[in-house]
Amino acid sequence: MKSLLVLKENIRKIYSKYENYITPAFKFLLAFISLNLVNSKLGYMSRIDNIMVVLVIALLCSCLPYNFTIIVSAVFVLLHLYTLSMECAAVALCIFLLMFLLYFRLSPKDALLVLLTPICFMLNIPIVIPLVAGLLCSPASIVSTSFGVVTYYVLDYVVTNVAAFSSTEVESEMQKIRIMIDGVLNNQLMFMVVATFAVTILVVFVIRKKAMDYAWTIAMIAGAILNVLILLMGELVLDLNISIIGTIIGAIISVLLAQVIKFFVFNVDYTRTEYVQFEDDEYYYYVKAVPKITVAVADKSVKRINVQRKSATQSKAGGQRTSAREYQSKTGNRIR
Amino acid sequence: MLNEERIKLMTQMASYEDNDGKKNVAIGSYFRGDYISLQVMKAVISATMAFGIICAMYVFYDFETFMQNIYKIDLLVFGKKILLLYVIFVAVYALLSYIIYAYRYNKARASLKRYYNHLKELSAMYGQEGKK
Repeated sequence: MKSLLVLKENIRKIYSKYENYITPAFKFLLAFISLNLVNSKLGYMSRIDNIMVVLVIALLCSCLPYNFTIIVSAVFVLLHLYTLSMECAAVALCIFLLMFLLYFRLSPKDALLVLLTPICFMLNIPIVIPLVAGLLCSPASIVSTSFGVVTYYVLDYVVTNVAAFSSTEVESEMQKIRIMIDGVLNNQLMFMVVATFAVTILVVFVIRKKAMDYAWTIAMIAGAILNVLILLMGELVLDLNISIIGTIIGAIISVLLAQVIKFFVFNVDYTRTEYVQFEDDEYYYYVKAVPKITVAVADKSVKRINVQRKSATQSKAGGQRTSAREYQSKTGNRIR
Repeated sequence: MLNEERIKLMTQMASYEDNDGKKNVAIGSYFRGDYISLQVMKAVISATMAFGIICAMYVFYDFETFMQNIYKIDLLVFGKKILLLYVIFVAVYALLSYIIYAYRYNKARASLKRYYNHLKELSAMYGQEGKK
């Protein structure tokens, strides 16, 4: 455990030192992975299904806020769907607009979860999302996670029914809209997953707030078990065609991932180095404020010092007793 | 001369101004009523657009049947029903936004109060230095 703590301190040191480079690199990776996943899953428009285009846009995303990555991903999805069928793209646009108008306008910070949820679904580790959202965010993240789930299942529906959307045999273009809306509203599995994630986030949030030992670990394990149980019950009752082994393996990997995230987040203050500028009547100040870093190795020495201090006070007390005895034997008076 | 305590305080304040402060100062420049009513107004516009999208999806879902029936149905009753749904939808959304923005305003005010206290502290420091 101590070596892990030292590793954590080292990572924190590296992060605070190279924060200027690590954050853009992370943004670049996120944009690169999400755009590539969109291209690999949909990939109907050959012009944007190109690694060079993805690289350039990911580079652009690396120096802009996270929400830009989300907008670019949404545009990629819409362009691919537009190439497949205009009606499909129109319905997807309506869904995205509803999400923006009703929720993300109020809470733009939560939008990242909408991007991460489909990514985790495509990587077959969806359970990590409710676990991490419950651990790190508030129950309000249920809304953004649900939107992420809806986005994934809408795209999944399009991919599995691509023949219906691409064929020209469909009686009227309007029918494609109906097929698309039906696909969203009649998707029992989607609603089941939304409900499961909502319950998991709530349970994880409530348990991790409890003042007990290992609350975070208990919360994530309980959340994962609950998630698997609800999905299995859904499978039994509604016959949703969920892969049981896949869900269990995904849950185990998700718990391990959540454990890793917890290790780096819990009790660690990733305060960054800040550069601020101000002036008064006499000076211009260009201040670089570096957060103080406590080295984990110091923890060991703290223990040793405490032991020493204890023994020092004991010997001091012992000394007092001897001198009291000496005083008694010399004077014959008793000390009370 | 450089005063270390003063620089620490100024750095703290500059960092606040760069991060949370930016948003809070913008919120703090409004009166409570003005800020909340502006945000609720924006929420009403958003909700109206959202309702429009939902209605459009409803119409296009079964466009042919809708167009066939449009001459048969009582348009006044249908209009009233839609209007009622719109009012309920917008009212619920506006109420939610009111609660959220009232909470945010109070939070921003409390945070700005701390910032103004720092300003007073800073001005007192300058005052003391002036006397010396």
